[in-house]
Amino acid sequence: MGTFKQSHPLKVYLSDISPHSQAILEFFIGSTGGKTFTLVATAAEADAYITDFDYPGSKEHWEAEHAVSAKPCIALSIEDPQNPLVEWVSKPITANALVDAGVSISQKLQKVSSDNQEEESTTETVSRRSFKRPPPLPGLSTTQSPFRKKVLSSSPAIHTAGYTSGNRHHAPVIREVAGQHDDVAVAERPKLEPKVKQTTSTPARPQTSSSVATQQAEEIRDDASTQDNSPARRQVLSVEQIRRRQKLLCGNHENISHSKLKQNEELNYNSENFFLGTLIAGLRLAKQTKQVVQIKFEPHQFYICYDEYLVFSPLEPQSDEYAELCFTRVKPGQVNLHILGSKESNEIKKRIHTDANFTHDLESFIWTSSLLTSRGRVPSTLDCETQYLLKHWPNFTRIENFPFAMKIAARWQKKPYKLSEIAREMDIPIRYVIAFYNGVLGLSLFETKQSKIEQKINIQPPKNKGLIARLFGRLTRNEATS
Amino acid sequence: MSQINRKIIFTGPVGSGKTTAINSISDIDIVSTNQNASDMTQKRKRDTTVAMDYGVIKLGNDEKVHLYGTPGQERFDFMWSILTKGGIGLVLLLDNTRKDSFNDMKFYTNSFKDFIEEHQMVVGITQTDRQRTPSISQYREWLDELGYEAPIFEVDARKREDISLLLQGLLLSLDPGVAE
Ligand SMILES: Nc1nc2c(ncn2[C@@H]2O[C@H](COP(=O)(O)OP(=O)(O)O)[C@@H](O)[C@H]2O)c(=O)[nH]1
Ligand SMILES: [Mg+2]
Repeated sequence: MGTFKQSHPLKVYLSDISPHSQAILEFFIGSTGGKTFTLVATAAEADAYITDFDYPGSKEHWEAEHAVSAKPCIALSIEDPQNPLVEWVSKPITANALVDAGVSISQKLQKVSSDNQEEESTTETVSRRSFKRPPPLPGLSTTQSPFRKKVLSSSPAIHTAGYTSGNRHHAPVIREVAGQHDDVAVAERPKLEPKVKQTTSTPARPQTSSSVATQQAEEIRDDASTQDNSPARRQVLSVEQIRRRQKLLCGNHENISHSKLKQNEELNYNSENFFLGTLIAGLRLAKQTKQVVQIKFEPHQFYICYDEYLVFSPLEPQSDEYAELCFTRVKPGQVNLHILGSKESNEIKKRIHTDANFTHDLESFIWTSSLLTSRGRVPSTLDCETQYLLKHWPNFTRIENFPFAMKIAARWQKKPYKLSEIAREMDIPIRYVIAFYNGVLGLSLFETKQSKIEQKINIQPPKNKGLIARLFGRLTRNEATS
Repeated sequence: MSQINRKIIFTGPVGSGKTTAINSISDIDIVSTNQNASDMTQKRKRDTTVAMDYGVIKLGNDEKVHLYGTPGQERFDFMWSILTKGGIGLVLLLDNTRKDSFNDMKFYTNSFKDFIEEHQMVVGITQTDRQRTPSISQYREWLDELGYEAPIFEVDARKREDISLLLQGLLLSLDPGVAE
């Protein structure tokens, strides 16, 4: 485009552009394309059109408009429209081509404008829009176009969220409370999916004024906010059942003082004395040997298939029976590990694929088992004075959740904390931090390199705090209800 | 035009679930290529125009968070740098059935390197119901190898709750103290 300097951006009107092209053009013009173009809302204000010539009827539309307004056009098209009145930008479109077309039109407009000035020999500023304007046709004005501009926000149409339920690799979790969220979301959105109606009273707004009840409600609400609610996972549980399950996962100790954590025998456990110890050992073995590992705990047999990241378990991890199995001390020799040979391995793998009811995501299984074993207690190996740093977040979409878990993860990945420090800083019962610690320990997601822990410094205060809070509120619907 | 500066960008290879994920979480029906076939003549559909997904989460008081999906890498990569302007975070979706997921991760994290360093990324692994491996633990190792720190969750892009949790992970990473 030589040395031509555009004095101001070309005012363009998007006409007959599909919504997604419009979105991308708006984007482009709103940012780096802003020097060359500026968008206007009506054709009347525009210097030029940008039109998709592949859009049915668009060419005729533009020709009709051009006959009236004589405004030039950038034509987006696969094929050259062979029209000297338009600047063709071939698809796929590039930023440079768009800018070139814009500059070219600006240049022509400026030339016409200065020509006109000379011709008319007047000092009046001539509109840049007078691009070889022919006499207007009667009865057709640019603003009365028979073609309406396509707008970005399309009308409500059928939303096709293609649900497939019954994915067995999802942890079935306490979801009933979360149901209220969906209702709120539905109100916002013209979605045509049938929604599960909330039938029980919402625990997020308890009728009692007692502070304990409020705290519990907070916890259940937090739980709901960070848990999914997919049909595959949703189980209709009462608030009472949710509390019961939380108790199995996190214990029910009220605030335990930091110093008591290690002193009180009741608050400690050694995983070696529980099924969990063998399970973790089995996990390591399976990872190392790449073979299926069998855990025999009569009368049950579990299989770890590391290849596929699955566990075959005769007991449902959400059942009370499994909770009991995890929490009960095992006798020496009661649980045994075996590495299976290839033939047996293949048989098990086949079963895993056909017997989906007994197969579970490996991490989700380990996580739940760790929590059920600890039930609010800390491993005897814990050093209360050690600061831990989370290396990786657990797979929150597939594990059994509990109150504050995601928030604990976020904090713990930013900088090293002692368990008690997290609880204090977040002002939450320490049992949730303990539960999280146990789960993460089972999955080996803590940072082990001391150098990494030491180099971790506190990061700058977050940007967009307000927006983040509002969006988070919207997603967890805490806000949307108010 | 006034509010294009608040957005979350969804990226990832073709078929990783960008369109679907935005559709799952958006308050408006998504504006996307697939659903606009009638806009263009069928014959030309394959080559037509820019393919970008767009959705919105409404926050009330006219405040919106715009959701943009990046178009196919070969054709419109110039848009990427533009796309990220004003973005608050990046959602990288990786399709577990693809041949070389590590390469995908590498390619996309590299493409958005500066943005990720300044803002935040979350990674969603899709199609794990169809293909179990690589496992999430493998992805974590890859992320370490590339030197990024980000929540990684398995997601089914068709499930609103999964995408919601992924976005919650993004927001909590940006501000762990959110909503306290
Ligand atoms: N089975 C399965 N299908 C999925 C999953 N996520 C997305 N899909 C499907 O994968 C296909 C490709 O997704 P799409 O959103 O078009 O990908 P894009 O190219 O990144 O926009 C769609 O048919 C989705 O419904 C998943 O986790 N599991
Ligand atoms: Mg798509």
